[in-house]
Amino acid sequence: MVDVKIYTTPTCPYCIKAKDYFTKKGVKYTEYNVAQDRKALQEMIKLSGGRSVPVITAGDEVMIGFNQARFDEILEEGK
Amino acid sequence: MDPQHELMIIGCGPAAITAAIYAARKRIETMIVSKDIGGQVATTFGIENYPGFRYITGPELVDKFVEQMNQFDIEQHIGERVTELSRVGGYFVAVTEAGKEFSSKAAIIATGAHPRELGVPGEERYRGKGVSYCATCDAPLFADATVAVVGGGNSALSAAFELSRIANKVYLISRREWRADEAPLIEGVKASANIEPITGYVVEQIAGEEMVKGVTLKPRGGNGRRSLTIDGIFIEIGLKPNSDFAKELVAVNDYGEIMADCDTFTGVPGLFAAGDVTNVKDKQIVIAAGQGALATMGVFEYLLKKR
Repeated sequence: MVDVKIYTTPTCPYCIKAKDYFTKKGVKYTEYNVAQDRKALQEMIKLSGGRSVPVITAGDEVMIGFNQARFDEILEEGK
Repeated sequence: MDPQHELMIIGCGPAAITAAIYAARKRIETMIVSKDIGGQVATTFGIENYPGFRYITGPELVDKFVEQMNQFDIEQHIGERVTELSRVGGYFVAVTEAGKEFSSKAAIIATGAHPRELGVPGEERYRGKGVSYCATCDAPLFADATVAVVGGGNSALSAAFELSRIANKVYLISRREWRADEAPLIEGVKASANIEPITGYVVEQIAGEEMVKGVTLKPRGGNGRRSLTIDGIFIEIGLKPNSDFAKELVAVNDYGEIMADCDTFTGVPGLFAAGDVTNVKDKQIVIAAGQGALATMGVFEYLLKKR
């Protein structure tokens, strides 16, 4: 199983959508709330080159926003 | 050749899902094709004006819509964006981005809308790098920053107010006097010392290096450009209907909204349009849902007459 991380803000509906999907698929993930965790925010900016949530990392891939189709592909490859 | 389906619904937000539920209960054989599920509702934080729920999040409401729809046997093609809709020999033919083709006797367009872009240099380049269309999502990332909000409607004022409690300074840029009409919101914005309204200006360019650094404004009339140093810019200038794929087939107004009458009929026999993609005056979840029901009623009558 690939290692999944998600950088979120508590008010972001796209983040909720992504996390719901992970749960539905049984994907374990680590969540960083960048509204509070300044260190994680810096890490996220470095990873994505931007200020926009969600940022999702799955294995080596960094995804800005939640692209379900691409996420499914990565899961398949990682099996 | 006979079409594959009796009814094709394009879109999968409140209008489309309501249309599908009504169609299933009227025993109309139905398929639904959409690029995603839930449309704008799926990305709305909280909803307090949909009857039956004092408060519900957007994703939760979408789940409830989908759960109800899924009791019925409706063929669903999610993740497929329709790029072309035409009428061939009295039937409707939709082609998707991936090249799939679907046909039907009647069709309902309920593809909703998406945030309108400014269309200025720098906007696309810095998207996600300081340019945001979702204040609800990204506002918390701008703690102690200087930001700009563009727009003069309720959504712009609401974004400015939300940001004023997080950021250091908020410029609220609008081309004319505010259109916002929610009194508590207007009072809140006026009372926020760190919101500076700049009225009568339009955005000319968004500039930066790796990320947004500034914005240039020009007055609507006359000279005297202004440059602001900012870390982020939130675009809240309304919605753009997702109607491009149907423009050859139906009439649209200056905003790109599909012209439909009060019964959601488009003027093309068998074709109805519902929700935010249409010229309906107000864009609300409950209005979209109501229009979805009306559209299916129209389809039902149309199919009866054709039999």
